[in-house]
Amino acid sequence: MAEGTSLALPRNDVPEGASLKRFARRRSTIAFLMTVPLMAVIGGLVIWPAAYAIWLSTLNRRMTQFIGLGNFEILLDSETFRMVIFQSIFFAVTAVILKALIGFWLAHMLHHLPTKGQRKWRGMLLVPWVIPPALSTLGWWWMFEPSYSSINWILAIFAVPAVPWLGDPWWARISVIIVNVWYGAPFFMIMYLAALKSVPEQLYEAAAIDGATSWQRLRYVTLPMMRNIISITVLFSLIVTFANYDIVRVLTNGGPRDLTHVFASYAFQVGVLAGNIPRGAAVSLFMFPLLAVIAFFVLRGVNRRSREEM
Amino acid sequence: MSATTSNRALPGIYHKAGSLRSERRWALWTAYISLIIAAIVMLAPPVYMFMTSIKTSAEIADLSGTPWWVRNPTLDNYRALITNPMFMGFMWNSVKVTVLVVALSMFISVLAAFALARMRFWGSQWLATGVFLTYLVPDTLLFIPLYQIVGGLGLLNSTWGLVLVYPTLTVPFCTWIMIGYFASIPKELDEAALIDGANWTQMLTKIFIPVALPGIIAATIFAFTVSWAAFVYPTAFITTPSEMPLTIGVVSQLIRGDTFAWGQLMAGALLAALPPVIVYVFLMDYYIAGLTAGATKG
Amino acid sequence: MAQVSIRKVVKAYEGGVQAVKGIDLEIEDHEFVVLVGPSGCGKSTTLRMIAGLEEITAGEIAIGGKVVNDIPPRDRDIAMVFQNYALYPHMSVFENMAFGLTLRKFPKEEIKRRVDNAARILDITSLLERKPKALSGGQRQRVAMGRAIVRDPKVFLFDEPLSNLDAKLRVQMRTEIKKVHQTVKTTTVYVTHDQVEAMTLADRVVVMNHGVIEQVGPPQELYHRPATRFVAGFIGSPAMNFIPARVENGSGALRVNLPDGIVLNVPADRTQRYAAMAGKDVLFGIRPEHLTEPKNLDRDNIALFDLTPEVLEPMGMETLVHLRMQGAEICSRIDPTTPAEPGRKLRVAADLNHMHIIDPVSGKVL
Repeated sequence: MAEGTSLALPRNDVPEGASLKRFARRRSTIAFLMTVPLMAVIGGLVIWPAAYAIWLSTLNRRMTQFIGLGNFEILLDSETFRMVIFQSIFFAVTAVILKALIGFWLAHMLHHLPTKGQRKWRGMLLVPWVIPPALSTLGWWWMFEPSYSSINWILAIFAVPAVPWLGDPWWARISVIIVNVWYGAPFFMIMYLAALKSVPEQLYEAAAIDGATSWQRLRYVTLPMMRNIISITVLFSLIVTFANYDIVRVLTNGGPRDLTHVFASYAFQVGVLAGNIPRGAAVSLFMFPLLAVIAFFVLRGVNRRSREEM
Repeated sequence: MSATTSNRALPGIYHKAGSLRSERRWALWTAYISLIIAAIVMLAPPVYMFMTSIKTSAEIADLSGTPWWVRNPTLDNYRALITNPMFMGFMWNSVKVTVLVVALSMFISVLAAFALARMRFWGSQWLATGVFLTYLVPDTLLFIPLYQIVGGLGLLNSTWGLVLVYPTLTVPFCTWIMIGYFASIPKELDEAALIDGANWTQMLTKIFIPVALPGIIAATIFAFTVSWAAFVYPTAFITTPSEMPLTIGVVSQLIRGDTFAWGQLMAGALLAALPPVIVYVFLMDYYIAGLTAGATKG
Repeated sequence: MAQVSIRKVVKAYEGGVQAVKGIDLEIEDHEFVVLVGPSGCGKSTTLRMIAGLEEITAGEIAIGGKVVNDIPPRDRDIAMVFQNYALYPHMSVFENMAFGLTLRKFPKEEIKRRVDNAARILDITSLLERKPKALSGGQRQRVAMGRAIVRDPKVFLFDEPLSNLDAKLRVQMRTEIKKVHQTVKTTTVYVTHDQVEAMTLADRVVVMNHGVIEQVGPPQELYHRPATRFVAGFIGSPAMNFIPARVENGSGALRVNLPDGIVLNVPADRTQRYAAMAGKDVLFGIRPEHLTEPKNLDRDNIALFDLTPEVLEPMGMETLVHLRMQGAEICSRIDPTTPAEPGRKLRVAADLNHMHIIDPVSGKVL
């Protein structure tokens, strides 16, 4: 794996004087060729559109004129969009914190079980993650539906008044968070369970002999050993949750009164539905700085982890 | 090393010392209670979706009893969907797009991952990092410019447009997983194969792919699941029902006017969700391996 | 006082598999006891039961006179050194060693005093600020020992601590451990599969096999007077030779008939011991070091006979000669200057003062 870039393949099948052939057989050339499709995908379908988005966001509605940061100014002036910024951040931060806590708790509970039993519980608990989110959100939408709400029916048993899940702005935001947490907590659970399993059993034994109670073991052994995975998963989930579209689109479509819109759904509404492509691009691009900062930390965490492999 | 210590299949420390018996019992009880509650919460929505899907419209509209039980189960909703050519069209579109995208993605990923993991060439480190960074770029950032680009190519409103664009969702992570698996194969295998006289193609097909098969399966499952569940791109690109895949088809088309046929809607959603769930049930370990591979082999 | 009493202890797993089948052992205060035996003999399980990391199925274990069956590890006042060191990777060496004391809320000065003292004993004072991943295997093992010393417990438990080290380092660390024990004098229970470690470190050796104790005793006793065939074959390297033989009653004396027509005269002081086996098939045991080139011929009970060498292994200070006898392969240790080559008959001298007769049915050494 670490050989130089100019290693030629066994000499016996290279005809003399065929320097072009020899070049083609060079390992580095072959390797390069093998990555060309990948580079085509990244270059053509990611980098190029990203750059194009930046260009698009500087155009006017009919895409005939360059208006610089005009779109961004208009957006920032709009009360609706400012709310969208707040809603997106509120949604992402709240949902990720809840997912991390619930996922960590569940991973711990699973870890307590004998290994044989873990499998079926793990299987059941991961189901929300497996169902395509657009479709499971349909189910939630049905459960929240004001006239028929099955959830309100259960609440009624405990004499709790019916909740206007999708009608009231705050409840609607909470509904979106609930669905996202329901969908995403199993992912955290799985990642944290894998991390828990990778802590050597002997460290716990040594800590027990040293005098640690279960809480102390959690604090001094488990959490430090899991620190890297915890941060990578949280940061990664921040990116994905921040850019979420499926749940908002199906559950509330941004309503009521645009008060549950997040960047992605608002960009869709402005760009595709209302036909203002450049402004839609501008909305999407608003996500970029925050995502870039988070991505930087994720990358640093991943690199640190691979260096730390003892 | 010590065979005695490594042969023990140890559960957590909570299961061993008798002196920890009460601590262990308390921990087990908390665990089971938490897990039962969690399982109820996690499974309630799909279960309720299923219950709704086997109710008649009359029963759904009847608010007198509990919504959490089925009194007159019927398969009419499912029958209606299966005989509905538009719905089956959705299914076909999903299948077509997914199969093509998975094949395309795996081809690109395996090739690139092999090159990046085992063959050093100038820029390979950068490219590997770049792949990971690409994975972090969400589809909702790119869908507007891609809308323009795909429109420019005349592929809007066509499943081919989807096939072109879906690899952005799958290729980065699949490549990343495969790099991890390929890199974990010991270097000595290459050298033994070289001495035995294999060229790079033979090494790839006869040695690496078989040895990295678990990783390949995990990556294929990932690509399948992501393609099948994709929602952003179809919503943006496709407006004619005949080209819609299941995700957007079920959400937007099974609603007629103001009255929602909830039974059919739920049935449609469940049918659409079935393939990934089936893959999950039968290949659960590979599925999970794919998820955690990103972090543990990072 | 820090004696360890193990009384009728049994360890059984689900499905009825018994790892430890009822053992009794009394370990004295300040004693260094080594549990030795092949993989799966139950030695690690026993150690872990003393530590509280395994549940005791039946019987009781007492430390310092107090029964500890239901007491969690942290309250048993023990310290353990693991095979894989089990150092906390995110803490420095100092913090690793101080961890047990920090948990028990010892005052800072006391902690520093104890850690510095232990570091001095183990010669790791210069490593105190490093993290485990910056240490070599031997250094990590010392830190693990330091963590144990700092706790000043009633008992030290060692679980195959040297198995992960290379051969040379193993020899070095063996001496270190012995020195530490001489300094600190804590009761020690040490588990290993290596009989050399057992012999060199122990005050008493406990040989275990298949969950039972085969023999307990000081190293020399196990060497010279093994109780069972297993112990005889386990202790000593190269292992004792076992030759199928027959005891015969000769004219007023016992004889041992070996294959290839070799007949040996049983030493007079043993005739009574072996009389009961007359006419029976037995195993004749003799260590390679007691099968030498002809020397000390003026002593009593030296038998001479000829055998053909198959393989010679020159070790420098001696040569191991593997000889073929019908039905058995024998190893003997000869002086390196003795001329010997494969295929040419060699005269060997057997020192019958060190012979053993083993009853193949009971496995006991007579």
